Amino acid sequence: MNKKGLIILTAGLLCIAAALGLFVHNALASRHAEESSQKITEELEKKISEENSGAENAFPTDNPYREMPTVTVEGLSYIGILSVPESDLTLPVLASFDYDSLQETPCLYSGSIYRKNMVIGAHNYDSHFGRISSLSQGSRVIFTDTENHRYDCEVVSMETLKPDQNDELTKKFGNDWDISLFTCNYSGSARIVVRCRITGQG
Amino acid sequence: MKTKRITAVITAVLISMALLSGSVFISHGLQKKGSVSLDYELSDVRFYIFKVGNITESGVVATEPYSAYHVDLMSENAAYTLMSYIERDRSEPLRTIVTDEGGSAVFDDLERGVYLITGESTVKDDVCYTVMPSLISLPSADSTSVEWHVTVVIKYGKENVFDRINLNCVKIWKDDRDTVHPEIHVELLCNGEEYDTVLLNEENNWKYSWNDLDPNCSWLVTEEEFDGDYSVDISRDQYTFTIVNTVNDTDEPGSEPTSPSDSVTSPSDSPTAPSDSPATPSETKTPGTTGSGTIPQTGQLNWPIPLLAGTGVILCSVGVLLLIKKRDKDE
Repeated sequence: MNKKGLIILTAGLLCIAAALGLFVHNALASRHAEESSQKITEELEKKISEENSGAENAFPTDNPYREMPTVTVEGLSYIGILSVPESDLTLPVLASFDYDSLQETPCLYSGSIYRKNMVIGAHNYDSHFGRISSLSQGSRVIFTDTENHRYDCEVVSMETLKPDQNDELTKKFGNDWDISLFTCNYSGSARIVVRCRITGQG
Repeated sequence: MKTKRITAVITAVLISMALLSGSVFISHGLQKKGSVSLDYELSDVRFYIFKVGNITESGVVATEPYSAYHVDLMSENAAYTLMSYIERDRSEPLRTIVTDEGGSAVFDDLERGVYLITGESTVKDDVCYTVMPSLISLPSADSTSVEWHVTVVIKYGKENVFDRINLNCVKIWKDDRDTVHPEIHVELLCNGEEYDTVLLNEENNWKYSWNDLDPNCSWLVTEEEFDGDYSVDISRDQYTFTIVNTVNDTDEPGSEPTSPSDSVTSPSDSPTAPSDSPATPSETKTPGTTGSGTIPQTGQLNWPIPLLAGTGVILCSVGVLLLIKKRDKDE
């Protein structure tokens, strides 16, 4: 028996098994994120609808100092729902940012919709922001806050930032964008950022 | 927004001129008296005047008891905010007057100061007329003269008394988001009487709605005073009250030169819309732990998959080849 050949074959099989294992793990995580987001979105939409029936657009949105109102679902506070029709995405946006929550839903990273400097981060799962790099200028993005104020936006630019360009990502003033979406690229070495501008509000 | 900025600049210029003229008068020891003439839509309506500020060389200083309300007399909604608290506390006016047949009335023999003018709500032909409060500086000044006899066209709101109304209230903290804000009691007043008190806090997103209210009431809101160096600004836009609490600067309050001369503050104006000047700590909400460091890693660990798979295939191929070679050799 060729011992050397057997060892190399075994190592090769182990590598393939590891690749397969990682692929399955990621696929399951992505599936879990998709299911979680769907469930939360449904609940959130229901609550937003209930809480704002008869009081549509009653509360002001023109004061940039106003904190974004939240709705609690399963013990977590959400600031609204993000939709990207082109990618067939409808996702809840959590009011705070942490890595555990990121596995379930996109999270508000910085800013506020009332200040027009809102940055939302999400995992690069296919069911989250994994396909935002395929958006292009003019693509539609919609954000609805928990008071049912709807912000129609369009993509105005795409950027690739290095991980240490946090200040550039969260630039607060003099922006030509109102909402930014970001996620990691495939290798995780850079961040894909989609800048959007509000085109209408209802 | 641009118009507001221009108005603010013009007001600031007028304020400076009024103060300058005020300083001259003070330094010369002149004790002139002036008057405020009212021009209103309806006759036989009672108006009230309150002296809410003294004009000093250093600026406008709120008088007692109004200084206790933490209202910035320079703010856009100062008149409305002051009126709300005055209604709540049933403060005695300096003087009362009733409009004549032409809707006119004159408050005369007034000394230098800042005055708040309010009026009673009246119902005529099933329409409720609500007087918008005005804040007047005496004397008022423009670029060419100092005027001791001021005429104010009183603004008003109209509401059909048949329709029940819903009112909303939202509270805005204009300061560092990381600050822990205290819960605040907000009172809804009907003709100055407490109708309801609610607690606003983070849990209810600092907002509340009252439904099915009597349209015949003059509805106002006030917030309960609390410990802290804040100023309060209350405004109403249709059916929504906005209460803004601003953290005060370290400068001495009221030290800015001010004279709301011909600025007639009206609650019908939109809620205070702070300029978009980039200067506030509440500016950024950066949740989590990623303030100014690196952008968080939001990617799955995908890159090893093709690497591992490729390496595995190559290794397997080599291993199989070696095994075949060995077998052939053995045979």
